[in-house]
Amino acid sequence: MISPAIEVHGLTKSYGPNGLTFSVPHGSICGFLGPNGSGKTTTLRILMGLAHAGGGSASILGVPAGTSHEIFRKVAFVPEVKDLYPFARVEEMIRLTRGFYPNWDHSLERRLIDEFEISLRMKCPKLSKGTKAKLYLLLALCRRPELLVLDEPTEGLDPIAIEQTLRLLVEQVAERGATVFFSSHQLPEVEQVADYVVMIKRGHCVVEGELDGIKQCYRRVRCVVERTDADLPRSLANWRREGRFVTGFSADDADTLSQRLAGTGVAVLESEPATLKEIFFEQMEHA
Amino acid sequence: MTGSTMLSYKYWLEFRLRLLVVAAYAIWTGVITPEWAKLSPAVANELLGTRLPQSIEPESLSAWVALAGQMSFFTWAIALCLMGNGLRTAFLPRHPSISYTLTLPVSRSRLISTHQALNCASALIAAALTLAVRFAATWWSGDRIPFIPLGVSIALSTLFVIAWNTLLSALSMVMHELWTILVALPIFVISNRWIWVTVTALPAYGEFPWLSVAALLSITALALAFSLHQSREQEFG
Amino acid sequence: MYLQLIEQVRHAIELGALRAGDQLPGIRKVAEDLVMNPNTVAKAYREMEHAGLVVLRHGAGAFVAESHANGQREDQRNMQKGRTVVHRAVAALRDLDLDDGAIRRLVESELAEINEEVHR
Repeated sequence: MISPAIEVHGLTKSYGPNGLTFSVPHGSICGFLGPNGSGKTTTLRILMGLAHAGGGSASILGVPAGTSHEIFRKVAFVPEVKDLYPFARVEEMIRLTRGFYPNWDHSLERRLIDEFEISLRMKCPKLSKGTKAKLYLLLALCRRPELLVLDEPTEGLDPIAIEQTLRLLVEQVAERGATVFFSSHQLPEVEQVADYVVMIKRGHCVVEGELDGIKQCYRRVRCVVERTDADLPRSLANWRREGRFVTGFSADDADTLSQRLAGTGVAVLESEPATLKEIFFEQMEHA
Repeated sequence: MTGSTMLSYKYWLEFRLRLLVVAAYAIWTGVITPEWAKLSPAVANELLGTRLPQSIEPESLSAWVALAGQMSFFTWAIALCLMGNGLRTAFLPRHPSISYTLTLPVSRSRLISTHQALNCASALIAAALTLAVRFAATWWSGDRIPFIPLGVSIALSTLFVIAWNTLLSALSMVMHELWTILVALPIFVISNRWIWVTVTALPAYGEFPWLSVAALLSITALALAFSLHQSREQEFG
Repeated sequence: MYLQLIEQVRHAIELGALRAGDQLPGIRKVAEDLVMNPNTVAKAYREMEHAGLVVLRHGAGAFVAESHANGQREDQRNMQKGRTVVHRAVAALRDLDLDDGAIRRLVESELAEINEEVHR
C-alpha cells in the first residue's frame, strides 16, 4: 500500500486547523472544501512550511512539513495571491525557475506560453490576474511535480482559463500519475475533476473520502406523506416539509428506505444522488 | 552549483538598478575632491575632526583626506542601497512573492548566505571602483598617489559597509523597511566619528584598529545569525 | 458524471455506432478531452467490463465485447419497437392539445406510480 501523498494528523493552530486529520491518496485529484475562515489556507501554508503548526503533525510525500527544502524538487505550490517578483519580466521569471530544475519540461513550457498567450517581455506586476495565474501554473507544472498543491486555482479566472487550468491538472494526473490537492469554492469544478474530497468546517474534517463513495451515501430523497398533520418518523427528523412532500438526504437507496418507512405513512417518490453542492450545504448547516 | 548560479541571477534581477546606482555613486566618490581637501592639511584636519596623519607625505595628503572625509557617507549610502537579505527584501514590504521563493528547492540559509556573499562582493567592487577612480584622479591632477593609506582606508570602510548592511538587512526581517531606515539614521550619526577615526587610524599612526575590526566582524556575524534564526522562526506568505 | 459516460457508450452500442471489436479511446485521452478525473474514467471502464459491455485487454485498451454486441441486437430491436410506441403515444397526447411539459409530467407521474405500487 503506497503511503498517502499528504498526511495530516490532529493539526492545530490558532485561527486555523483545529485537530484536523485527513490524508490524500497518491494519484488522486483531491478537492479541499470549506467555508472561508475554516482554516484551509492556513493548512496549506503549514503543509508548505510557510507557517508553523501549533500542534499535531503534517507531512507531504512522507516528509514532515517544513523540514526539507529538497522536497520542493517534487512538490509545487500555487498560492492564492499569485504575485511573482515585481522586478522581473515573465521570461526572466521562467529562466530563474527553470535554472533550479534540471528536469524542466521545455516542451510543456513552449506549449503553455503559446496556449496561454503570455507575453514574455512584460514585467510581472503589469500582468492581468488571469495571466498571473497562468504564469504561476506554468512555473509549477514545468517542474514535473509529483504533488501539486493549489490554493483557489480558478479564482477570478474567465471560463476558458478555468477549463484550461482544469484540463492541465487532469493531464498531470493522467500522464504522470501526479497527485493534485487544491482548495476551491467552485463546487461544480471540484465535482468535475476531483475523485477525492476533504471537507472542513471550523478547523476539523467533516467529510473525507472518495467522491463516488460519498455520493453513494448521500441521496436526495423526496417522499410523500399521507397525512400532513402527522409527525415524521424520527429518522426523518430534520427533513424539510412542504405540504404533503418531504425532502431530505439519506444514505439508503430507494428500496431500503421504502422498507424502513413501511407502515409509517411515508412513501418514497424519488431518490437521486446528491450533487457536491447539496452535500456541502447539508454538512455546513448541521453542526 | 545550479542553486548558487540561479540565486545570483535572482540577486541580479532584484538589485540591478541598485547596483547601477551604487556603481555610479562609487565612481562619483572617487572623482569628487571636496574643496576642503585642497586646503592646508591643518585646516582639513580641523574640518574632519580627526588627528593629523603623520605618516603620509604632505604632497599626498589632500588625496587621502578627500577620500577619508567621504567614507562616512559612503558607508551609509551603500549599506542602505544594498539593504536586503534574500528573504525579506528591502523596499518590497512583505511581498506575496515570498511564497514562490520559499517553495524553491533551496534552503533558507542558502538564500540568506548567498545574498550576504553577493552583498559583500558588491561592496568590495564599489570600494574598488572608488579607489581606482581616486587613483586615476590623483594621477591626473599630478599629485603623488598615497597607495597604501588610500587602499587601507577604503578596505576598512568596506568592512563598515558590510557590517551596517548586514545589520540593516537583519532589522528588515522584523520591521518594515521605513522603520529600519529610521532606526538606522541615529546609528549612522553616532558612528560617524568612529568611522573616521578607524579609517584614518592606521595610515596616520600605524595603529591597526583591532578592536574596531573585531567589533565590526562581530556585528556582521550576529546580524547574520539573527537573519538566519528569524528565517526559521517566522511565518511567511 | 461517470454514469453519463457509461450511458453514452451503452447508447452508442445500441445505435450500432460502436460495433463488436471496436476500440474505445484510451483512458488518458478521454480524461483529457472531457476534463474528467482519469481514475473516474478508469472506474467507468471497469464497470463497463463488469457489465459485459466491453473487454479490457492488457496494454491494448478497451474493446466492445462480442457477446454483448450480439445480445444488444435484441435490445436494439426492442428499443426500435419502443421508439415506435412512444412516437405514437406522444402524437396522440399532442392531439389532446397537451404541451411538452404536460406530457413529461404525465409520463413521470406514471413511472412514479408504478414504482410506488412495486414498493407497497
